[in-house]
Amino acid sequence: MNRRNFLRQSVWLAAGTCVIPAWLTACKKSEWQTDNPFSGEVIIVGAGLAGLYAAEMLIKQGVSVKVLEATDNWGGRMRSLPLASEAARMAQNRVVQGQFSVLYDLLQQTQTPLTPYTENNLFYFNGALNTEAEANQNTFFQEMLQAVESLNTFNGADITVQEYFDALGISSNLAAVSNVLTAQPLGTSYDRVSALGIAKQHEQWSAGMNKYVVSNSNLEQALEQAFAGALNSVQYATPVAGIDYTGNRIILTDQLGGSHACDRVLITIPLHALQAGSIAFAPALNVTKLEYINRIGIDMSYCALFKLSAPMWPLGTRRIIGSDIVQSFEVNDEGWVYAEVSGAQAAQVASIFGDPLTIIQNQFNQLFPGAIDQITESELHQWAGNRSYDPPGVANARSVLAQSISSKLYFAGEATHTGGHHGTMHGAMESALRAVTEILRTTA
Amino acid sequence: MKRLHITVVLAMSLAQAIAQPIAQVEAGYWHFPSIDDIFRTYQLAHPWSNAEVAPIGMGIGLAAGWNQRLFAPRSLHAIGLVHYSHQTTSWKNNSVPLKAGFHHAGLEVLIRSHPRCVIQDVQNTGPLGTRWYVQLGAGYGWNLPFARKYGERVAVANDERYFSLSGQFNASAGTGFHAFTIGSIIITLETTVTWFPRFALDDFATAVLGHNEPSLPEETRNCLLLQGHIRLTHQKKTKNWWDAPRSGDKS
Repeated sequence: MNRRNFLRQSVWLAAGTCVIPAWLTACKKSEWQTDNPFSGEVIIVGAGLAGLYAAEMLIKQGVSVKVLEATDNWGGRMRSLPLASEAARMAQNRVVQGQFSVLYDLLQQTQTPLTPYTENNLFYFNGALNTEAEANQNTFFQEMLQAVESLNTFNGADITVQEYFDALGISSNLAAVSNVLTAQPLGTSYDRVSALGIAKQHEQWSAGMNKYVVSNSNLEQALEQAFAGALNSVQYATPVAGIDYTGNRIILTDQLGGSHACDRVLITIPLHALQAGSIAFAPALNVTKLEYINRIGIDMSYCALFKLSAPMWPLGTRRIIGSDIVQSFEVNDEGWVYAEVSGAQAAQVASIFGDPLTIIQNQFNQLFPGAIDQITESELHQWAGNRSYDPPGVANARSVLAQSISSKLYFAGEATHTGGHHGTMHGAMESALRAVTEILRTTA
Repeated sequence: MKRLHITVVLAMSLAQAIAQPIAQVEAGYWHFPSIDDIFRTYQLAHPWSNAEVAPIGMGIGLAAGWNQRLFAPRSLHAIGLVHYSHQTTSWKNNSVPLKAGFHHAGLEVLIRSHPRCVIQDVQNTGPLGTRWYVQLGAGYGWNLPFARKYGERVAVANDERYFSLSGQFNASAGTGFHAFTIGSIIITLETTVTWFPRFALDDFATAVLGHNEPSLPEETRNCLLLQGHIRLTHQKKTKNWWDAPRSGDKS
């Protein structure tokens, strides 16, 4: 065989060997598919992030979807100040954590500007504000930071984070700082959250550790763009009062007397609304499920936003941590101050006679005397439930909450996330994905 | 460990001395529905995107080993092979920020002959036995899955970069044809089906999706690999005591 023939035959052989695998690969479908595709109607209760995301996925699969939202706004708890003025609300930034999450994909796909999050905090303890460098010179502060770091690998008894700090002898002067660094991001206080729960969440976290800042306006624009189909199917001001799933078709009744029929219901309302029994189920949810639902923690919180005529803190400062009741203030260079008060601190604010907004502003005034006279604009929103967290004894309550009932009722929302992303926006979306795959695997 | 290394080197040297070396190019199609579901779920999870991430299907690989004649009158040969192959998602749109797949390496022992040789001797066979043959094999393989998003290796838990090596047994059946000879090289075309009773890609779903999706299994069962091979076998000019011409060889 001469060289030319050899080359020609080699090319044919190589092509022949590859062509069948390549053809079979091309035949593989990338779209979601099941043997018996679901073709019924779905009603989603709640137009929060989980509800809208679920609706968008189902619509893309050709499923008929209606979203019933109790309020006049979409977004749910994603909007921490839903009733604030447009200017005030848009002034607030959101922190997104996780460069591998589906929310990050969404923001990238919609070309939403993201700024890497950098910590630049002031710490208040021993009666003075300290920069991070100054605080790090304090031995007790260093011990506290080490204890916070060790919490991620905690493997002891099922105790609260406060008990964990007490056992390590962390200075009580740093109680507020340690609370902010551990429990406050979870929407509660350290006397309520489980040390094991925090360690488990850290161990399970798979979204990546990078943090980004996104402005509210950009985030809302991105979501409007990504969930355009879902937003068209939202029926606002329709609070669901009851769900009757005794028959083949599920009947939902709203508080305005309306009735809605469907084949599947996806419930994405906040955990505290489920705990409060705001929806009457027929038949009623079983006792075990209710017991587990009540094991998961979720606290009332205040979200306050106010603007000073000029910033009173060093430019570039992101947070001021460690004051008495309101233990953390987020600030920016335009003079905006945002405070989220949860857990024991929120209960303390509620117990004090007076306007909660004034109490919060007075707290800030203690850090920066005269600040209260410079406030030009302010807003407050009280959430009956902020974000879910793991108190001691929570066990597998989230898994029980996430379980569907009779292949008719499905549950999503950040509180139903079992993989460590509860209490986050992307966790809410991921729980919706789980519920949607469950629905699509059923037949109707 | 040192003793093991010496044994392996001696065994390889002996095999090299008495057998015919093989180099092989492979193209394969992986059929594992549970792993396909991971990519379909990823697609489902991105309803705003028109880009498509196709499930893993085709893989390209290389193998090397030795062919050893066991019993010429029945055209019985044994082959030892070391495989490596690489599978990845195919891209239909470059804006998709996901690249995922797995490396697969394995050891395999094959026995091949002609079906007729089960009942009778064959005459006039070549140095590799009958021109057309069937073969059966068994092996053990290792999978090393990978996933990158936005060019970065993903983390699956506790911010640790995804690394998960797992292994499994497999069995294969195939048929081939010694197509032609160039000098001392015999070129063989072969097709095989390999069955993996279980195929583990631990945490692969978490790596691809960015979270632990409870509905997706950690392993898939009864996975099939359909492969086409081009095998080059070096026919030694110098015959050794084992591979010397025997009765029944084609002259």
